[in-house]
Amino acid sequence: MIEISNLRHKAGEFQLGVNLIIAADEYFVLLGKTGCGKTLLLECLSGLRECENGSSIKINGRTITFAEPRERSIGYVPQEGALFTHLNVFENIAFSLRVTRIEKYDIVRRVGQIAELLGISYLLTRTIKGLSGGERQRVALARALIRKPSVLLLDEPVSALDEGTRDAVCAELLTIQREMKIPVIHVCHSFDEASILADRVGIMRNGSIAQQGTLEEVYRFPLDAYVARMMRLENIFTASLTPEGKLSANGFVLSAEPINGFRKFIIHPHLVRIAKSNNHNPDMPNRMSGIVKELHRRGAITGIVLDGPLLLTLYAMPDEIEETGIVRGKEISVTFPAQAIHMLTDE
Amino acid sequence: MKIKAFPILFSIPLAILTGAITLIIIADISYVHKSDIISTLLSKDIVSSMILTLETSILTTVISVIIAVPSSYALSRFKFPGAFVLDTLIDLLIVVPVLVVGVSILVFFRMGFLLESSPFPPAVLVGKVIQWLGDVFIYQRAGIVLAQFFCSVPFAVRVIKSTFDDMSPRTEHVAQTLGCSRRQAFFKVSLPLASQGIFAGAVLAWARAFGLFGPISIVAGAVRQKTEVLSTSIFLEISIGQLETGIALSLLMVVIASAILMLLRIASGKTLFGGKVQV
Repeated sequence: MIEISNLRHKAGEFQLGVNLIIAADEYFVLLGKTGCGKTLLLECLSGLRECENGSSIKINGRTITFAEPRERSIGYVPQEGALFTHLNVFENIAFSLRVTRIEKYDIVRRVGQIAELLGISYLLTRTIKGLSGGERQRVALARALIRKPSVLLLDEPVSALDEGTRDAVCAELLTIQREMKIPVIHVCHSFDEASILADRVGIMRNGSIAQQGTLEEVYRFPLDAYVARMMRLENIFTASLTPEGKLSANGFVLSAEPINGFRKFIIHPHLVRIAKSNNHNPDMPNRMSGIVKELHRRGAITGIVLDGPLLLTLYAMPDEIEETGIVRGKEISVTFPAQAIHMLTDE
Repeated sequence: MKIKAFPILFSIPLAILTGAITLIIIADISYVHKSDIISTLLSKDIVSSMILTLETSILTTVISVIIAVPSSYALSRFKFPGAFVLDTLIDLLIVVPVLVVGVSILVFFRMGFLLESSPFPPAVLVGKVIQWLGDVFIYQRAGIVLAQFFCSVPFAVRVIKSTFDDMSPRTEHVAQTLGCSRRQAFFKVSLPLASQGIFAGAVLAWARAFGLFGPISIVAGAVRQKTEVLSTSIFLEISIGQLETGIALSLLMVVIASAILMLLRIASGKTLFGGKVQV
């Protein structure tokens, strides 16, 4: 278990301030834009940057706030792996064991085990320079895991990989984490990575965690537009009120209760349905017509961008698109329930 | 076959440069007789100066690297007030004429006399130490190394610092999380990773020390079989009208320098600034 309370660090004008608890076998994904302090947080946790007085970091009940990096029992994989190019793959993986002067036969055995677990046994005699991006990340991971750390910190470990390799490495990360039962903090700015890996996500903004929860919670109830955008949610609108006190946007009146002081809202795309008849459905009180502007195939589903009073995105299955004969330029109607509308606080 | 203009355009200056160097070496070779070279090589004075040149230049290189590696690392990695000033101070040694370096060393030791006659006891003590150091270095072999060091070390620092600048500190950070102390991370990771740059810096330092003349003659003088290095020998021979011997000595320096540079390059398997060596 990782308990981070009131962790503070100042880097120039930038102030980091984090409170976070991660369970013993949890895969926690920290999402945020470049420069929001994700890497800084990992560096503070691994002891590469000093925390301010009053900060507290505990791993499995042991306080490590001001401990040396080598005393923290943390496995750290930075961006691009930071492999030691003067050593071959075997020596990279065995590095920490050699530092702690472990018996030679034990080093060979443990390197063999971890290499097998990550499927890189065939690489052990190779030099670092000839490795592909995916292979490099696997080696970096093996090097971090061989010490059996109490926590694994991953700083955008798959962001430089192509999609196929990324998915494969992500699957391996998850398998290893489940097998080793250690908490992982995985930093990235990709919603896709988070959706594959995360037990819980945290959205980081300007040095602090803006919102945390399960992916479903944060996706369904984002705190503000920044969090909504990090969750790759579209349909973010500026709210206004009609003289009757009803919620509206761009003159389109919505059937939902406005909340005082909330000036933005989202319409969840996955709750918007294509209207197949003109009959009023009391469960779907919001109805909007518009011209199909774009159709984007996104894996198994298709995103439809509808240009009406609002520029609205919704998702549909390909067979539904075929059945309703939707093509670009066609006018269609869509309906959505009041629950599809979620009010956002100011950023 | 289509002639490619771009490579030709860039090859012309290279051909002019290497051609010019070759021509001046050929001019030297054609000027001296075989007998001049043999008699030069057999001369006791020359053999002595050749050994002294190699000894002092190698010792200077070792000292330069020992000082340059930590200095470069500190300048590259540590943030402290005045780092910019220190960096400029080292550059100063590259920019000023080498004679100025020699004269400045001499003037420094002269300060010992001035301080000794000071009314303040601490200043007198410092003056005595400087005077003692002056006896160790001035017109002594140690003075050759001192002059060479001041002229060589800035080149080593420049090259080695740029190597550390190019290296991401992340590798060291990772080493620390893998059980290393900062010192271990430096010796086990940063130093081996910087070896190519350190090697290049050492070669540059050696080259500078090997060919140095002005400051050596000012600080250590030019006493035959005592403080005479090859560059001093060339000057002495030419100054007494022995042009053939002077040129024969120049050729000897060219041969020694070329042989050592080539051997070092082949041994390292790389050219000085990266890329595979082409033998």
